Amino acid sequence: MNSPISIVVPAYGDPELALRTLVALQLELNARGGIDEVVVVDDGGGELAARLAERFPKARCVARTTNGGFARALTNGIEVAKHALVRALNSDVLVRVGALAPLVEALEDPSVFAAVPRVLLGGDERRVESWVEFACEDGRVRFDQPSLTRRARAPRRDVDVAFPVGGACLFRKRDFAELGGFDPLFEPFYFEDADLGWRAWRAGKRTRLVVASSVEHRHRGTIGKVASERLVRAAIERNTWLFQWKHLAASDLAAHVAALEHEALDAWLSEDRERLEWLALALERAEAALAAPRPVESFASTLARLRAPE
Amino acid sequence: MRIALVAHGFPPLERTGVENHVADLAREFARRGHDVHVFVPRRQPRLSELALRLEARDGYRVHWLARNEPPRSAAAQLEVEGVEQAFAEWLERERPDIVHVHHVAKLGLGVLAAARAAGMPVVFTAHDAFAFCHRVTHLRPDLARCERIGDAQACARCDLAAAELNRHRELGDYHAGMFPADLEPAVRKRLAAALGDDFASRKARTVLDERRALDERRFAAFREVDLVLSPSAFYADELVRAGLARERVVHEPIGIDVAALASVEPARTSGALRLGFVGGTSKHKGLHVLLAALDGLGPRIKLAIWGSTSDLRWEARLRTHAADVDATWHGGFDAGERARVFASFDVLCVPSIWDENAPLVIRESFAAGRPVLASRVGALAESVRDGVDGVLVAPGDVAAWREVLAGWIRDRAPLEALRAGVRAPRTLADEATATLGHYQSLLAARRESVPAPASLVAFRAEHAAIASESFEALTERVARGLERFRAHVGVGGASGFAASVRSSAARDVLDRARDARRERQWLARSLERRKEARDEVARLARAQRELAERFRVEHAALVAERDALATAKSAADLELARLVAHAEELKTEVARAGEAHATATAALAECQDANRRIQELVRVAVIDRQRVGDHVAWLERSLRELARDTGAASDGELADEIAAARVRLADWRGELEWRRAEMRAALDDRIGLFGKGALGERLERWRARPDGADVPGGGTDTHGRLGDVAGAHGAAAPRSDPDATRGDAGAPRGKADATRDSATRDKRGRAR
Repeated sequence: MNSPISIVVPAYGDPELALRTLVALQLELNARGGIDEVVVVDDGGGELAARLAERFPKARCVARTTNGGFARALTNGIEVAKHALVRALNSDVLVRVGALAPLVEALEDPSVFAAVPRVLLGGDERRVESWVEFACEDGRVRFDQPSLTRRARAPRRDVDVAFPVGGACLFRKRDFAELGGFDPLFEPFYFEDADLGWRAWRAGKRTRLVVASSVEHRHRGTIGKVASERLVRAAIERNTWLFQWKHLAASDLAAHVAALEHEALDAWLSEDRERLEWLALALERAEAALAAPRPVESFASTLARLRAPE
Repeated sequence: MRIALVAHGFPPLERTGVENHVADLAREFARRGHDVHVFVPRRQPRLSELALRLEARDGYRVHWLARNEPPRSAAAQLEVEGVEQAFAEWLERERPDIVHVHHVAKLGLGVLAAARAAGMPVVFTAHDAFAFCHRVTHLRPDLARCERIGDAQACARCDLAAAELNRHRELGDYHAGMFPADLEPAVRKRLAAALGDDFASRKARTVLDERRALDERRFAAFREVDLVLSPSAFYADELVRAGLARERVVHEPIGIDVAALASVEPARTSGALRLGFVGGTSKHKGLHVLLAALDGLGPRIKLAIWGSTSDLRWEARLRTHAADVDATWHGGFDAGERARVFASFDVLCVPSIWDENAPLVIRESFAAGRPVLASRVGALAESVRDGVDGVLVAPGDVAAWREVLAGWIRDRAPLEALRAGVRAPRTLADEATATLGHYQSLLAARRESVPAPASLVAFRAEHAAIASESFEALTERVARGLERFRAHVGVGGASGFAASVRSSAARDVLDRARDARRERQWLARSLERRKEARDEVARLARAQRELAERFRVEHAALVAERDALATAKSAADLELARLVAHAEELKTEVARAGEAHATATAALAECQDANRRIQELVRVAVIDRQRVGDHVAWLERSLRELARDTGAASDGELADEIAAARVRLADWRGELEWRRAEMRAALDDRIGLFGKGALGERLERWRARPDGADVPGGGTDTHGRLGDVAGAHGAAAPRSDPDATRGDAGAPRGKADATRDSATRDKRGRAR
């Protein structure tokens, strides 16, 4: 079945990067017979959208007057998308020819919330960013990308993963809306996709890594241009805590509080100021994170479902 | 605002100008409600290296960094091991908004680098020349002022000269340098040579390369500073000359706490003139100039000396000199004693011989209503208005200093006029206000320069707020957050973390843990160095073994070669002896050949001579043959003429005719002889007759005439030859006769002529 797709490309201030992405995408779209649409969401006020419109007259450009960040731009693009299937695409991701059809095929399974291609970091076949896992130990949830952190061999067949990396996944517009879209709790960036994917898992819907589909992540995102490395790291670490507080079951919390105390004490004793800063940043939003509906199923149980053999 | 002040020392341990001023600023900032932290090194042998100790005072905190190990090289002095990391960790914990460095001595450039790496605005106050002179004073080791900036060769010459001085332990802690006159002649000579080195030697070039690299690092570090404050315009210009951007260098005069000196009793206007010297007594401070100027000025002038130096030999000398001129040596004093210090004199003396910047003591003197007598050097002319609130004198000019002082002894009126001209100096409050203004400008500029996308603004602000908190505030924030979290999720019990961070005992544990961690790091580094040293020792041992093996092999080869050479030498000796003998033989042979050659040469000469003679004879023979031919032809002609004359028809008739002619000739000769004899007799008679009279003498001369005119037809011709046929027929003789020609010419006659004559005679004889 060759369902049309709306491809949403959030972009911010780097026309060259967006043009390259769109040129690569165009080849794939041509191969698919031109049934898909491209929605470019310009988070920089419209200048970029105007330039892209000259080169890609068929692309729809949405100019946002205020820069709301990646998640809000993507949400905006999804809202205006015409088709039922939506493909999120980062502006520094190059789509390989033939990448879309396998994803569409994977979504034919109604239990699948999102399908993600192999997102190859720097085009390296061995470094699959979209192979993402969670681990739950000692009351803490840890995030992992095995092929990046442990040089583990990437799967050769389709597998379930913890969440669809936001820069390259395909999902149903309806599912996205039903799950509530991206949670602003995680703004300005990182972990919105993890939260979305885990909400899907909690709702009984899977995320599939489709090995027949590949894209290349030419890491040249815009975040590094507007935020220091230290700030980016702070956002990631803060959101790691917020993610846990949002998704840990009541039964997980006692162990988690002990882990929190341990983390704080260890950081204090070793005078690791950054870790304390991350914790402080997270604790400032703890009430918002804890206010989310608490899952009945423990995190470990959900994880066990994810890891269950097919 | 959280302000970090960094200095190389701090009261009460160090009490000179910069340290006291930093303490004043810290107190003033704290008084205005700022959170002030002072980071200073201190020797604390009981603590591990780089251990930190906190002291709270006057509303601010002093963080003492244990620095016990002295730097072992110029590079180590510039980048003190471990300090950058320790300071970075301290910054990480305290999170000041701004870092103001007053000096980097004992800490190194690492404090500048760490502050910059932490993203904090960095201010540096150039209290001295360290930013462009590694010797700090801009004085050479011979204590001459240096005019150069950024000249690596000049700086390396100072290194070479300092190295020369450092070789002499007897000079002790000589500070700034040594006056050449105080050195042994040989040392003085080497010092002068080092200061004029042309870098021809490899060692000097190495020193030059090292100095160049170090200076580049220093200049680079100071160029990165956001703002450089210079207490004087003079130093501001020097810093720009050193390569700092003009827009980053600001002239910000120093202020002082005038209230501390407001109660000083007025200066005396009568009695002995009381002079004061306040500050360090190292050589470059020029106290020796002042003491020399006092020599012979008598008891109407007194000097009080407040200060000291660790240059103990120099101080001992100064103390002796001070005693000679009846000066009072008070030594060091605490900041709280300033009023007492300035009350002890009426005029402050600043006889420095280096480029002073903006001495606090001058401002304090003005605050106490005392005029200043100072050297006209560096930026002192900015502090002292010559003839208004003080007098400026050429640095080191003892006579000029003495003249001014002697004038004041004679007449105090000019001094009173100067005292009237003294104005209150800039206050510490004014300086603090201006400095805080600089801090705020830097922070504002930094905020404006950061891009602020909408999606990040909130998070960045939140992060910045937390990141700017002190470590204590941050831990308290986390503690409160954890308590809220526990309450929210309903987990009972108090937060262990909150209890820990709020416990002083736990904080002590934290301090000890930090020290332990630092010591562990230090030990780890030491172990690493030890391991490296061990590896190096092992490597050297391997190299030594390899060298020993190579030595053994090469030694054996050399021994073999030596033996071969000895054999060859013996053979060569023999050959040499043989050659010498041969040479002797050859010499003899040569001598012999020489003789033979001489003989041959002589023989050759003789042969050549003989050959020449033969050739001459041949030539003469040819000539004679020609002559004979001619003669024969003449004879034939004569015979033909005779035959014609006589009518003889044959040779016999002619012969007869000739014989008859000869008979007649003989007759004629006989008659001639008879007539001659007669004539002689007649002459003798006449001579006898006339005696010795005039006629007689005339006759005698006539008889003696050599031309024979008196002997017609007889005697010899002019050639002494007897008359003959030819002579008888002289008129008919051939004119080509070569002998006749030569004879006429009077040429000398040689052997050939004699031979020729004899030959001629022979031929004539045969012809006859």
